[in-house]
Amino acid sequence: MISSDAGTNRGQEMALLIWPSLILAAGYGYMVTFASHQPGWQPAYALALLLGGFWGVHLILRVTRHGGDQFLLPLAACLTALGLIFLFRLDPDLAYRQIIWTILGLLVLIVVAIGFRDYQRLEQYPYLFLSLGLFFLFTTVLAGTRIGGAKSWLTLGSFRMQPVEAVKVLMVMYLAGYLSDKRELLVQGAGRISWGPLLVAVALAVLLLVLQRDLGSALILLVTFLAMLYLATGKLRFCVAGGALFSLGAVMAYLAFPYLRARIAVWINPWADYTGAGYQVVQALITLGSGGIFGTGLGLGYSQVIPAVATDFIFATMGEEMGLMGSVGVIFLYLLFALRGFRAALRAPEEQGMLLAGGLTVLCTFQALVIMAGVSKLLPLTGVTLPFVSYGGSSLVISYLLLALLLNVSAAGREAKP
Amino acid sequence: MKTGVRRLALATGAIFVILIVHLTYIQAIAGERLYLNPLNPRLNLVEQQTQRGAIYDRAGRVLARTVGNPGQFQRQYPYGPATALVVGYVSGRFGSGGLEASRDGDLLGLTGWQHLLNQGRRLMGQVARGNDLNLTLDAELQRLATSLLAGRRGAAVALDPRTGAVLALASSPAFDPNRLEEEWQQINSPGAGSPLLNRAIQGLYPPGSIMKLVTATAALEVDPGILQRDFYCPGYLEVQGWKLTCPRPHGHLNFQQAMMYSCNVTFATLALEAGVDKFKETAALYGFDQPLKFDLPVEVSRLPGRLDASALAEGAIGQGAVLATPLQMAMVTAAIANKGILMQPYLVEKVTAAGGRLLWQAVPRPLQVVTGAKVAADIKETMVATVNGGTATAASLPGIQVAAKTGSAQNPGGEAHAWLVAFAPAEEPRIAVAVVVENAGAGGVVAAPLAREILAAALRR
Repeated sequence: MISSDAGTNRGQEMALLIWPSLILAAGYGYMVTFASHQPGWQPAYALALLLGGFWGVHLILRVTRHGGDQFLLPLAACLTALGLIFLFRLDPDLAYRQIIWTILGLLVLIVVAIGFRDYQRLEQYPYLFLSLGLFFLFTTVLAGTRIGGAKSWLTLGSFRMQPVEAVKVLMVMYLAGYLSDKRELLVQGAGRISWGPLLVAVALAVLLLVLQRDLGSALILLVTFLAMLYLATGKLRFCVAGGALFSLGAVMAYLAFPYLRARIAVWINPWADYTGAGYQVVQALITLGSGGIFGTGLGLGYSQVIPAVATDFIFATMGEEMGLMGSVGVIFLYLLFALRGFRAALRAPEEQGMLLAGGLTVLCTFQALVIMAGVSKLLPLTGVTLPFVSYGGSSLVISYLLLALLLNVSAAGREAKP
Repeated sequence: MKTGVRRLALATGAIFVILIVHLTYIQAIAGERLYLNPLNPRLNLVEQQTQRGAIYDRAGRVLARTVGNPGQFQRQYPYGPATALVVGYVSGRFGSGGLEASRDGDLLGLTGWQHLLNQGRRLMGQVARGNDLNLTLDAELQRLATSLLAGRRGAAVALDPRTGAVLALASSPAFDPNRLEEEWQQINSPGAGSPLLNRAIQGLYPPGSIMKLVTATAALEVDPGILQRDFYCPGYLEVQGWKLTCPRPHGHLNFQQAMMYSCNVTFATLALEAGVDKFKETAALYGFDQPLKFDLPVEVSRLPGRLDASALAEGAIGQGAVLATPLQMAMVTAAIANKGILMQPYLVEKVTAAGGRLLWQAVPRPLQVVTGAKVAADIKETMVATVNGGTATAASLPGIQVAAKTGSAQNPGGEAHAWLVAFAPAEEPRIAVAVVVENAGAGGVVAAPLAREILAAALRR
């Protein structure tokens, strides 16, 4: 057990940050060995930038006496460092951009962790988040670009973003405020009106996501919503009802949309159409299997044959080159992240914080789970990113925003204790 | 609310445990199988960096070897078309087939510890070396069988009934694996007769009168008394308004004569008496409708799912919807030769590492006890009589007693498929063969001389 007397425990955070630093140093070694022919690459600068970024965040948190959980930042840093190395191995250009996104994410982390340390201030305007989230969704549906089946991209000139990543966090923020506000009514089951906005909001989100064909995000949002509802009311039957409603919707969608049927067929037997629809999953399975227990070693795999390997399928690359040891290691990193997130929820001084931390933790870990299970054919494949790891600016920056909010809730928990 | 958080954490943990178990299965247990899947593009890379193992026949004759230097490896097949459908081929452009495909993991040294060892070699820039295969195949017998079939479509299978070792597995037409890339288009042209199809194990033919061996087994098990019975063949048998005919009315005859002259009426009657269940059960013991584990992919021989009386009568004489591979009918013959015990057929005798160290060796094992020694001996006797004075006289050898059964399978494609199954010497069988020649006419005329040559060559050794 970590001593709670210190209030903040940044010393431990410092010790733990050595691990991602070692990973980055190893990555630097790999870069200078294999990237000599990469024009425009300055591995030393990249290393300095990243190390400076992570240690800088640590120092700022230390200087400002931030009481946030000391495990969260090193965990996220480990995941990002691993992700960067594998991105570099797959596509150096993407890694280069991802470094910039990482720095941007860390800046967001600092701004939110310091500027909105009192997260309750954020929760005064739940409807602001709802409207913002819905606005993002509507613009995506109306003006979005379809990439890889899902119409979830907004293009502004040469700049592309995936608003759905932000929508997920905004929804959690909205629900945390709303549910803590209306909790009494919900527990007593008296106010039928109180159900209205909630159901409408979630139904709308899910509907829009189905229109965008981004099933992974819809599923993640729904699970997060049900988990938060369960936290707020403590009644499992809400979740069961929600789950049943979703199953009904899923069956209807299955009957209505041929693309969904195709996707389920691919899940059940990807080998039936191994050159077409099943190609990604078949190659991902072969990639994971080829890694075996100990893996092939960094850069010695052959996962580049999988489309979207740098984003949705990066876990397959990790599984091949680090083997079962590595892929289970990555799973453990997410598990630890989840446990620290839930701990923050447990220690939160009031309901809002508990709902916020719980919701964000479920959001992040469930997303990781959905894509890791999708890649390994445990669940149907849905195109979502692996938080902190996959290439993608929106995903990475939002992940660090989420981390900042978790830090703030955990800090509130510590500070509330005498 | 706190219990809610705790339960949520527990649920998350449980789901992660499921994911870890699943990944362990995928990566540790199914890993090798997934890696060796022909769809794996990594194998092409390994191919270029590995000296593929050689394939030898039972006497150590080379069937396939790799020559040249890394990056320019060349695969040679000294026996060319004769062993092409067993040994197979491997091509960067057209994939692989035969043992080259099904034993890829062994030949490239990718199984078990060899995999790690060879991976280490490749990392150090050395050339990895695959394992060698020693087959049960007799290359000279294989060559003879292929040349006997030359110019015709058909297949010949020779087994050692005592062990299940495959001595020959010939299919015609064949292709030259040394010239695969040049001749690929011609090989796949419609007029070529599908030379990539291994008819011995993938070709499904109506077995015709060969099936009477199965019918006889079922009938003798139900009532051994039929050996003494007097049958009468008026030339036809009416079953449910459908007329089954014999080429000529055989008149009065006993069981042995019914086999010798291949009387349809008698065997249809016997099958009807034994019943559908007994017939199906006996066929299943011989291997019908059962997937067979073999070193190469085998089509499953089959009976129709539902057999009414007329379909049973048809099935009893190997017509109708009954379909069998030549390997299956060789197995039926071998089981009778081996006193009713069917041995598991196998093709790979042993796997040795590059230095000659033995890695794996096949152990002959019974696949099924089909029937008792008495029934097998009774059927053998009728098959001996068939060679000595029945339809299979063309299969007889001087000084060696052969036991055989002919078949002429009616089919919609034209003339009957000529079948002959035989084993010899009858007293102590060392070889069992099945020969089929497509649309060639009567088995006793066309297939019997072929089988005779194969038996003679095999026993001369």
